[in-house]
Amino acid sequence: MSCTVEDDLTAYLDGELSVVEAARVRTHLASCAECRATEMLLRRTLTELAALPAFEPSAGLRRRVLSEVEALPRPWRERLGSWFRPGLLAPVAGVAIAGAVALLVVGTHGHRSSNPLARGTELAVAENYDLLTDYEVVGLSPEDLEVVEHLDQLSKEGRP
Amino acid sequence: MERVAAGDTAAFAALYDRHHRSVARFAHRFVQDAGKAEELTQDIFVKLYRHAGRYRATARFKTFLFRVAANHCLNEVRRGEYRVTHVCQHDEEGRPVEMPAPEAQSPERAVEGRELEATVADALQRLSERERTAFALCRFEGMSYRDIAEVLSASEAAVKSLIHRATLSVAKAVEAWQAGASSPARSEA
Repeated sequence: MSCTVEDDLTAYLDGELSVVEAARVRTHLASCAECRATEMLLRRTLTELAALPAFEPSAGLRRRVLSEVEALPRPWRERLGSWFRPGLLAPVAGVAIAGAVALLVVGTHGHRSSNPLARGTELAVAENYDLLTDYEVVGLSPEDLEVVEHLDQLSKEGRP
Repeated sequence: MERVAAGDTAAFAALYDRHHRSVARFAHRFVQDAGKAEELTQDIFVKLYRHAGRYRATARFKTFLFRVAANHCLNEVRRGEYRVTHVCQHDEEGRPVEMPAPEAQSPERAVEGRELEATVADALQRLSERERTAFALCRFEGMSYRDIAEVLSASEAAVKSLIHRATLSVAKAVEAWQAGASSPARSEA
């Protein structure tokens, strides 16, 4: 086919031409029987293609895809997120502060005890018991305390 | 996609539910085999999950998805993993047969539908990979030329040309089949 407009016929039917281009094609079609025949053939084919049945994947495909994805190693962002989520980070920080306070007290009062390591720790805990149980001071809420009690389990969950 | 990238499998399942039919249809047009199309679809979605972090919200998701799908199908077909076969069998008169039945219709309409499906499938396998990809995305997924150009990393002018050539080839194949179907030899068969 020699008409250059012929190359635009499919785009014309698909509504992909500009207004000016579409007008040019329409004008040409009015005077070119060959392009009109091609346009009719394309138009008929598009109608038939639209009526073709679509492939429908099986229901089992969903299960297979999700199973394969579940079996993949978790992305690093998710793993990091499990370690740094606030619910876990706050109590851990609280425990660290409490430990630091305890060590500080041991260092200050240790010279009074004959067995600095054992008795100093006991004294430090005893002397600062109020401080250690004042959860607000160390940043622990009752919920956080519960998390601290189960910290070992949470750590295992967060482990890759 | 951000949630998928963070490993949210529920978000991934929702994404799958929304788009798997389109991807499976596209893969099926590529390999013309239900089992292979499902394997490709599975691979494409697993790949999508694994590389979800690469998605940038500036790209339309469907374009991104079909870029992944088209590249995967093209690569697998090129690697020979999924050899594209002319699945339609031909009878002694060269007419295509043995395609899965479309929707429930009258027996005559069903046979006609199967033959048309086989004719189109056969014509698609004769196209170049890029023509087939552009044609499938346009005709069966209703994507615009601009989106297809993005998927194929091509210009819109190139896509227009690909789609025209492909559509004309398929149209001529359908026309030839219809001419054969209405010939006296066919009606005697």
